[in-house]
Amino acid sequence: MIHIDHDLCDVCGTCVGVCPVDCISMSDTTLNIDDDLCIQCNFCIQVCPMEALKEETDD
Amino acid sequence: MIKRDWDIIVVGGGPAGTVFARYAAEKGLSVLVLEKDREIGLPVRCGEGVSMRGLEAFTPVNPRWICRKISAVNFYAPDGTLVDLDFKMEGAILDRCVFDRDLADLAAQAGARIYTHANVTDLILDDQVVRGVVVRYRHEDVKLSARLVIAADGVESRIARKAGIKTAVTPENMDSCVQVTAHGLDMNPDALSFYMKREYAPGGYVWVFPKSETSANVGLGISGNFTHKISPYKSLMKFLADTFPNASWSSLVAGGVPTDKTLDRITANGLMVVGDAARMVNPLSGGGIHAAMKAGKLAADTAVEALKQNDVSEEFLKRYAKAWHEEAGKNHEGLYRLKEVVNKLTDEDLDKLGHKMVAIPKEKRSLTRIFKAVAWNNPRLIMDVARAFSGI
Repeated sequence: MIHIDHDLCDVCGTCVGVCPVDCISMSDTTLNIDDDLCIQCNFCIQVCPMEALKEETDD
Repeated sequence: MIKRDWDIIVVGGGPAGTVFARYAAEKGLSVLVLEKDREIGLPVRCGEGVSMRGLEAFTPVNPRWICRKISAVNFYAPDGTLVDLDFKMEGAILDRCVFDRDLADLAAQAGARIYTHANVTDLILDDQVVRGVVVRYRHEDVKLSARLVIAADGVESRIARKAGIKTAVTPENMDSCVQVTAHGLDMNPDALSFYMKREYAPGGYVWVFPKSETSANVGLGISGNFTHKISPYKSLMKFLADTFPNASWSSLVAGGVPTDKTLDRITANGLMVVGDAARMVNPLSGGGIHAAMKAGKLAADTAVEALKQNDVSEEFLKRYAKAWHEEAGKNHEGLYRLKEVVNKLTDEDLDKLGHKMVAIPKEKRSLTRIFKAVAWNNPRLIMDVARAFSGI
């Protein structure tokens, strides 16, 4: 699962532009990731300019 | 209440969308522009540097769009060597907030309707033809129908995907950017300054684009290939601390710049894709405004014809794709290849290049000359440079 830190996220859409399965949606104020569609490629984490996305661990 | 039936619905109120809307509305078509953000023009996710010539091609330039005229380009090699070039064309730093709003105003004056806070979440498809959109507006999902939909939704480019067009770019072709509008700077206020040090911006560069004598957009873009090693935010903070330790800033924004080739497909049945959404950004510079406006105009030409003939098939709309490739496509591909060359240069290569450039008289320095020097100094890149220039 990808965790979104909404305090850091600028809702800029960079992650959306690289998502190969189109599982990230956004409004003007919030980002949302559909965990059912996500394939854990982590491209979104890689390109986030603000370090707002993290891989969520189980603990 | 938004009217339900339109000739054309444009998704996105940036320059591509509003230029399209203006031209299409001028021809008497009913055009609706839907912008997801609260207001058109904000937030400004843009360095705001443009050439005047590119702007003038579309519209008389209103002086209030221009924060500052630019007459020089300064490249800083990684070791600090300054290579200054006279800007052959007239350059300017825009006020994107005013500029975007005025483009929207021109569209509205031509008869287009614009709604903000209107988030298009889906397309309505009927037998693989786009027939309208679903827009979330004031808590309600509203279905609107259109004979043609324009995807002008920027870097996210989700709308075209819903019509089956693959728009996702790979991380290497996404520049991950952070920018501040910084104040109290000691800089050359008449020049676009580029800092090429890989430590700050691998696969990209740092820009300082003056907005006044003492303030500037200071930002950087890092190719997604490198962002796992280096955070754009932290890197910009380091650049500011190293270069402008006393700077304050009045804004901090993130953004993505797709530096890919234009999408292979920019049309579907009942849909055209324009601007950043179609990956039309100049892959070398990262500038996207001129391309967006050009695409808006070209798409509007085709849209007017398509609706007149009542044929919105992909086959017909491909006229727009053809026009884009004829006017800009080949140049765009050449710039993509140049980007690949630049990305292969190490700090050492760039230092050598900087020294070579300052040794030749200023009036003889040019980008072409720089790339010739790249090839001369880097035999491994000769073929890349040759390929790049043969494509332009």
